[in-house]
Amino acid sequence: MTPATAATAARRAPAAPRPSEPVAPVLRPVAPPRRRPRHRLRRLVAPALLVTSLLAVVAGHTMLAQRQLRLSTLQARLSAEQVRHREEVLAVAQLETPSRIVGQAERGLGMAQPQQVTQVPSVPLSTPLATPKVGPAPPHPAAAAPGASAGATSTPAAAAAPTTAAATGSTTPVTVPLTTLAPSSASGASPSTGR
Amino acid sequence: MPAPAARARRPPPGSSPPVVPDRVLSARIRFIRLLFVLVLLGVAARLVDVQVFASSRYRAQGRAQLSQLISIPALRGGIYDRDGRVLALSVPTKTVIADDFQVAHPFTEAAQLAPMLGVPVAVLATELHRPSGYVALVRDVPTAEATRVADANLPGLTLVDDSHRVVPNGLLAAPVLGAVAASGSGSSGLEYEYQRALAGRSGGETLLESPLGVALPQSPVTGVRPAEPGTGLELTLDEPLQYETEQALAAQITATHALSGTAVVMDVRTGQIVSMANLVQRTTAGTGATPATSTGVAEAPSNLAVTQLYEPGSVFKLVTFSAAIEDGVISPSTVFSVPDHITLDGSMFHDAEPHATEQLSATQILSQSSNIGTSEIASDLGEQRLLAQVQQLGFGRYTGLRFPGESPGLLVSAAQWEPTDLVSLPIGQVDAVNAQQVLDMYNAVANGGVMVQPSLVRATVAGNGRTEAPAPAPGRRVMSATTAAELSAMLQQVVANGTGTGAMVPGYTVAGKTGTAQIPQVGKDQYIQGAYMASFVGFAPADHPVLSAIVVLDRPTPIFGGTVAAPVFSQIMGAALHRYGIPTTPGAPTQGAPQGTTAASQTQDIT
Repeated sequence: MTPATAATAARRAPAAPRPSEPVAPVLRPVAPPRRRPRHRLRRLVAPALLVTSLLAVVAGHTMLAQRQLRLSTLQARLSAEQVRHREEVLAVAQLETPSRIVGQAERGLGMAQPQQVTQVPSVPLSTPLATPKVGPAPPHPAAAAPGASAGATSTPAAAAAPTTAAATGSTTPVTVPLTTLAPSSASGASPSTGR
Repeated sequence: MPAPAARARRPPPGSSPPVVPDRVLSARIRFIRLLFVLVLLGVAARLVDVQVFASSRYRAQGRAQLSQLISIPALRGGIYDRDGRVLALSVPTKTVIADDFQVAHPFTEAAQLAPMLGVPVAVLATELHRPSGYVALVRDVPTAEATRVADANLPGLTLVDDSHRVVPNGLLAAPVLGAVAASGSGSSGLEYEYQRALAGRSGGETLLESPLGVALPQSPVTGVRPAEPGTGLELTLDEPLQYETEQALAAQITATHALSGTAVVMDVRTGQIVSMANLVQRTTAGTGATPATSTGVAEAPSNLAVTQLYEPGSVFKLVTFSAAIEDGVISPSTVFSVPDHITLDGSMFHDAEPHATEQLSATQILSQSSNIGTSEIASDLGEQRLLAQVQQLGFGRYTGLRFPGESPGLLVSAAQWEPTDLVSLPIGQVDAVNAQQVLDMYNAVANGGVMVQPSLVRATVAGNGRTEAPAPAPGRRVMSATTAAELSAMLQQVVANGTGTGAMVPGYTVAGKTGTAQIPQVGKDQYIQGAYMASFVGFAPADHPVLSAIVVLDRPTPIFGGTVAAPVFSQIMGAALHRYGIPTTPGAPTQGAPQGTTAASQTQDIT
């Protein structure tokens, strides 16, 4: 036996009672220390957190799947609507083609192409409009009586020739009775003579 | 452990075994150990390489063996006119594909499919019986019908995305728009020219499949690349005016029995082409007993305005007059003594009609389209100046439209020059040009001497509807403004008093020039008897030009440009001016000239 082993055995050997020493007190079992409540709580919280987390993950995945499904549905609807829009655009384009409109006008509405187009000349806004020429008023029944001709109002300008097509582009002379128009030519405004 | 080793190496009786020293033996063992270690290290290194460093590569290779890329075709961009009207549009469709190995009851399935697809049951049943594994039952199925087919959930059927090109106006402007091949790519016209922009970029979906190539059922899509739809084109064409132009041209082709016709209307300031018509007379092939007969007018197979070359005739005289006025050789009032014919280098040139020697001003020479008078002016200019002016006015180069099949023209060069060219070239012979080049030249006169590049595409239209206009090409001054103004005044006289009275537009002043050009025989140094190209080119209103136009008819009867082409110009230009609300010109005639009754318009513009 090594010295170390002997020393250990010596330490472990019960010490011999000494006669002069008092008797050792009686040892009683001691109640185990009460567990702290926080340890129990910790044991409950951790699994609860784990389960909750798992549930949250599952719920999140479910929501994600639902949203993805909704997104896919919306994308499918969008694609369908885009296709429908294209088809509608095409239908409108086919309806407004000139050939169809002309055909519909000629066959459905009985319209016809013009044989001749006459261009009405433009009138510049910077120049005053032509004053219509006026001719002699038709003889009033009362004025037609002898001696009543002096009552007819007429100016030299008013008695001028009616406007011709060269002035306005119209082929019909404009003749207005004196009774409806003031003789503006008398104030110096010259009638249009064509351009 | 020497004892067992010694036993193992015990030599057989009667022999003297070699003695291996212990140290050698231990060295061998160490070597074997080292070898094993090295091999294991190599294996480990390779393992690390495969699993760590090159794992992505091997993973990709493995995935590639299992993956199948399904292409998603991109929707082709639309083509619109200048106001957004649809000229060509692609509509998504589906192609119904059948895997007849999976079709157990072909007749039953055909009977179910027939009302949905509008195909007879017998046809479908035959197709479903074909043992090929891939049968395209019906193409271009509208999405509504395709949805019904999908809802039927019939075995062995697959719907594949496709698209169908629709042209709502039929063949309106077809030579300009071009065509789309069955493969979905443009084959001619603008569809071909702008193929890259219109086509977009196809996408794809990656699925998993077995090594035998069968898609794994319910396998997820491992990769999606959405298709990018093509970019649309907003053209400069105006659909209603295009229709008017084609109607007028078609009527005249029919009336004059011309082989073909071209008409182009262009915006003077911007060079935007608002209508471009190309029509041909459709004929049936004649036999020995029966001649070819006309069956109507149809769209030309190509854009004749830029692809067809012809000798322009009298409309080319503007080259000579512009150079002469620009150089101060003549003024509009310069008087020339003009006989009715001249002889040069053994060749005789003459005016359209015999006449006594006349004293004609430059303006009268142009308005009466005198060939001899024009050649006199050209001889004052000289060969070099004339050739330079031809190139200066854009002939011999591309117009800038970049149209497929466009020809820059065929020009005589100084090296090929012959003495008679000094008469031929000024009156529009020798050189071959296209109609658009002639129009560009007259447009430059209308635009005060600045030549603008013609254009057919006004903007590109992105998928979100945003338009982007290309940068306009800068104009090029080809003559002074003074020269352009003098030429414009001279060209007005052509319409007012000369060969082009048929081009009058009531209410507007018109400037232009007639042309009646002979057609050369291919491979021969002579012209085809009785065959002429009749043309009229001009612009209006002459005092404030807004639109320019050209009309060319191939071999009409009667032959004269002033008789057959000028009235079409009048009709088209009148419609265009009214459509755009161009104010009338004060003092302009309110009635057009009676068509075909003016002696000048029938006789004096043959070159």
